[in-house]
Amino acid sequence: MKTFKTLLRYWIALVSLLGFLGGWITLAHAPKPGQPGNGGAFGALTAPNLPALQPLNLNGDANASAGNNAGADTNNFNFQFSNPQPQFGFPVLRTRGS
Amino acid sequence: MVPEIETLRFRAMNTDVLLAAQGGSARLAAGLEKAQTLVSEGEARFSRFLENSELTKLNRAAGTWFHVSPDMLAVLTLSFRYHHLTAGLFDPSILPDLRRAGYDRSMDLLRAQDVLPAAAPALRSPRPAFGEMRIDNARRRVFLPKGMALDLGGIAKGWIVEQAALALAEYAESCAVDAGGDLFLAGAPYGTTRWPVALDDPRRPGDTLLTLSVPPGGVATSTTTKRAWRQNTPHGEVHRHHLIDPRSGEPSTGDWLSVTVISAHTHLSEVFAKALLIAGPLEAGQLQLNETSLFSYLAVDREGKLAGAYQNMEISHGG
Repeated sequence: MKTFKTLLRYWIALVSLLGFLGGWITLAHAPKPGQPGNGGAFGALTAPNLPALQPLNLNGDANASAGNNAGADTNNFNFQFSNPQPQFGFPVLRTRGS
Repeated sequence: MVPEIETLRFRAMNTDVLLAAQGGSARLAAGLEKAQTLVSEGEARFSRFLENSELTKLNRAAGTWFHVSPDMLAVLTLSFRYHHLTAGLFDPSILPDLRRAGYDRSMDLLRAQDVLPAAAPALRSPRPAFGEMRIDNARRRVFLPKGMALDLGGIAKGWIVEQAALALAEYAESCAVDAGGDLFLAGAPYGTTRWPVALDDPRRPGDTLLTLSVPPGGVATSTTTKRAWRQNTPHGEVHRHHLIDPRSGEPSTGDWLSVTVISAHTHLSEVFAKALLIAGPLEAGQLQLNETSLFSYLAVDREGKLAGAYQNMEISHGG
């Protein structure tokens, strides 16, 4: 009986140790929360791709990146230098500071 | 067939105002009249030079809660937001410093008088920070701490220009409102997609430095050379202008003479043109970096060199 109890203690200690080590190894090799490409729930939180910034266009082509004509286009606020274009009678507009 | 264009010119807000509209409505004249009324009402509300304007009454009520109109609430809310976006470089509460620098009457009167403003007090008196203003949206009221007085000149002008243009756009296919160089452009001239806008040379006001091609939206330029005067001080006669650096309480001393900004809103362009001019070339990058998606800018320095958001270049285009 005493021998059986001793063996049982060793058996429980051994299984506990192996279980602990197995868990350690498994977790050490698992993807971390929020790591890109893990495909889990955290994967859905990756940042969307941002559009590249547009540099100022200083090349003098007035029609190269024409904006829409319905209203302000927030992605198109780039200056272009141009020769004065006909405006079909619109007065010359000047920005001269205040 | 090219649609008709109608224009209306008048003087308001101490500057020349131009309304121009094109498009198929037979009621263009009514649209022009409505836009002019909005400009006049806006001036009556936001001018600090009119004794009975809402702004004058608000300034007088500092230290108590004051009920404001929806328009005033809108402009003050915008001002508060821009104050934070510009790290305090846009600050409507510099009015005491502006008066100290001599701008204590309208620019029309300042120019008409051949005498210099009275000598300024030598010391800057302490004043509450603009961030201490309180806005109660629910009850539509505003609290200015005692000692605070606001000048909403630039931002209010930009806001008025935009409101007038949006009203006019209801009657036209395209239109432009220009108040002393603060522009709002809706749509585009017939057959085009962008607007040619002449940029004044700040070294020689009245001369065209170059012509810009800009999309619909708001355009504004700030310069230290236009609203300028000379003032007697304890240190002698000095050059003054209306762009106060809120950090020093004195007219700004940066290297740039003018900054032009284009964006979706005239008030935004007006505010950032002023903030960038005060910031100057050394600090402008930080402002632009933070708000790069909102606007583009073009600065002209004392030598006529241009600086933009990303690069410098020599002037190569005449007007």
